[in-house]
Amino acid sequence: MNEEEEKYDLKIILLGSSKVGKTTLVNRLTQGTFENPEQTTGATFSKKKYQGELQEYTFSIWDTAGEERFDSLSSFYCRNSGCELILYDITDRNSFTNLDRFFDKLQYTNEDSFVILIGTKLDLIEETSKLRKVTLEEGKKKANDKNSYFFEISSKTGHNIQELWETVGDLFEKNSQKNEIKHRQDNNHFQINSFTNNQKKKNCC
Amino acid sequence: MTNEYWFEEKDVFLEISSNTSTKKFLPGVLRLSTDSRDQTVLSWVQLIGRTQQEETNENNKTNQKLESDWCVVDNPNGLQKSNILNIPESIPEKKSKNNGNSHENIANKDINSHNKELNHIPDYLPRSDPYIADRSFSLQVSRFEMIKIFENRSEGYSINFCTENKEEFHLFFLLGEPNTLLEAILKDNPQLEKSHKDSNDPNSPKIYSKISTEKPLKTKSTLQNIWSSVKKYSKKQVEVLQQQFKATNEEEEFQKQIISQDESRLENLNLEIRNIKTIGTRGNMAVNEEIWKGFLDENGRVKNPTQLQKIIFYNGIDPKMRQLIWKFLLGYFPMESTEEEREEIQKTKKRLYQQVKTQWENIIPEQEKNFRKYRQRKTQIEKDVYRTDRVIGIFSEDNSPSMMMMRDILLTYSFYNFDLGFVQGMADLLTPIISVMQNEEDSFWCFVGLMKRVETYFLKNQPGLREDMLILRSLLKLLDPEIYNIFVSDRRSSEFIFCFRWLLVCFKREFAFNEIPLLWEVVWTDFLSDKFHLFIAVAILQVNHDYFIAKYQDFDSILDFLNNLSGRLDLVSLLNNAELLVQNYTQKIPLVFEKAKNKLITLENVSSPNIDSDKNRIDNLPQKSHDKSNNEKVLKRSTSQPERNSNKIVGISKLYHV
Repeated sequence: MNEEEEKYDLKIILLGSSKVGKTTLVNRLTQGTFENPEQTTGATFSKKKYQGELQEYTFSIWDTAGEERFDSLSSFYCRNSGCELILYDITDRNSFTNLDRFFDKLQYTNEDSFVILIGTKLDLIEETSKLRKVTLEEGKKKANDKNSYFFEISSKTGHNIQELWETVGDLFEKNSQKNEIKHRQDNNHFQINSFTNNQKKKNCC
Repeated sequence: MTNEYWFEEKDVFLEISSNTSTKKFLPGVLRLSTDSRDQTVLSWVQLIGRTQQEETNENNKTNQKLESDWCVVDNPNGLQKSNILNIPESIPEKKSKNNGNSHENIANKDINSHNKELNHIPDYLPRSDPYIADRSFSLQVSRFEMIKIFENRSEGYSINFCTENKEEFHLFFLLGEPNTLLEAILKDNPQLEKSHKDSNDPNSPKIYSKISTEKPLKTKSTLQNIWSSVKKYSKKQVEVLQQQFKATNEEEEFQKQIISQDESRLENLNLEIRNIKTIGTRGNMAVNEEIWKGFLDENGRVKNPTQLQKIIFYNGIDPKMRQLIWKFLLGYFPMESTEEEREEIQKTKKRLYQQVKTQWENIIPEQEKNFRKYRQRKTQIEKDVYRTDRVIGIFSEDNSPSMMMMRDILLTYSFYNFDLGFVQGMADLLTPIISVMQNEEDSFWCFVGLMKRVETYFLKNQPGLREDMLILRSLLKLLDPEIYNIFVSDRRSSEFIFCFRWLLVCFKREFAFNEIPLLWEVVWTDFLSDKFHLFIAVAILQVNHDYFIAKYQDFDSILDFLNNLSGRLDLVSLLNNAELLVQNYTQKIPLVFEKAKNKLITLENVSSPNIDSDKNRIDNLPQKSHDKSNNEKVLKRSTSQPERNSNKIVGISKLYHV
């Protein structure tokens, strides 16, 4: 109806302890910039387009506060999320050991959502690997245990950022194809139900 | 007797709306009857769709319910004077005695238990769902007049009609075979002329509306034709619609709950409000040294604290005087302290601060290694200190004195109040204080005073903040019901989480850094209300009233919109608006009470969790005049309240929208 009224094809939510680089990653993704942002209070969201194989999609990216006391809020923001980026700082051991608190949030997200575990601040260990507190293997293992995808990135240098974004888009497209097939099957068997579902969607949006 | 008839149609989906409310009904039985006095009675009972809650409620008082399912038109006064919708109330025994024949049929059906009613439920509807007494109503009118028929091809028809008392009603039917119905109505209503919603588009929905108002209608035949043309649904249609309606009903239940909670909260809100009708000139007459000195007696005590608060509330404080006066506002210096005493306080507090500070300063590195909680706090604080207000001069340089001060104060506070510790947002509350005080000890104690005000915001799950959000919602219901309704009709927005940032750091992120002192000192005076910050929040929402009405989509859109308001709000005009809202609030509150009283009378038979408490409270009100002992008939009672009968549409909204 109106250009301001936009529908988002995918809701991405960023989770992780305080100061692991959630807002920085959002800024890198949406503006291509790198700076030291203020701590996030509540949540903010931004949008980014993704050029798929056949069409262009718009994703919303939700940035949350890492503060543990505001935990109940991030559960709220996780509702309807289709992709979770869970971040830790590879130079901050605590941010890694704390990860389970964010994997617990997955119960609030969409059933078919996918998770990407991300180790951040890769640039800090370029000169000296002394600063690294979480090894690449540990990260991979954690991702494997939690059935999620894995990246180590640097929002400062842009390392792996493009790859990360492509992966998000790919997984989204695969997911929606799957859904479409499922949807079609459902349609053949239960025409009425799918009608109802559509109606419901219309009502709540 | 001869012109009496009754008519009944099952499985009608019905929607009734007035100007103020809309109520949807699940398939039900619709009955139309006319008595010897030419009064038409339209009654309807919902058959399915009862929620768990209602089931329990009904089980608790089955007997009562069975007796009060139907409204009977046996009160001539009620009939002639009042054509309002009534919650069905009394047993139709009288009627069957008086009238016999066809009415007796209805009456018998009505009093008889569920078994009979269950027979009305078509085979394809779940039998386990007996009808809901609460969802039945009856409408008595002596003459209907068709005003407008609106055809919406995919859904059905809406029919507007008007009673002879000029009450307008709107019935909405979901129909199987619209054409038959339409033909029937049009045949009987030659005054309805066809047009299209969009006059240029012949495919747009059709509207048949009444052009001339002269000709009265042959009411009975019209309605009879409507009902007789109603087609039953196919099984599948019913299933689909049933689910849709269930979903809507759940939402409605949820919404109802919220609204009734908000109403009872409003009634119990004990905001300290002063009702003073002037508008501030903020900034023009700020409290400067001269004004301040005029407030002190010979010993340096503040002579008239309330007057001081008032002046600050309306005019703010001169930046030069903030350093001193903030200490009073934040409870560092008591208003009644003498100059001498304050020197003493300052000395003591300085010592105490250092005492707490040395506690963490003296932690030696090995000790720190074994002190995880301290380590975590320290890292957390440092993380935030390095990213709070870095664009502001005194904090912009790495490790600047002010930045170090921020760190030390936060760390000391986390020892001073160890249970609370450090939570994100605290740094935001501290930086304006540092910039005004420019002194570590004073900043610390002022910060302590500020934290006392908002401590509950920072506890786990933010109980204080959540409470304030609910009060905010109640205030909005009173002060801007239109946008309130928009927010509460969306489950995600109904929690008002989009105000989280505003409240947590008292709008610090919404205004420029140099505007914060004025905003905060106005709030800290607690002058007009101790919840003035909530009125500011209402003011911000209200300023954007038109946006919400026109563009509201969902929680995401509103969060995005509100986040983007940051830096674009006009502080002084918002403070003025908030002030007007306080006045508005004081004027409306008596009305809320009045409304609650009416609600009680109208809704006596409807089970609602809040009614009982309301009832007790209202029973004790001296204004209550009607006779308690004669309370069996809602109808009677409502006629004894003439002021209410004069506004029947409101009566409907109360019945179905509370």
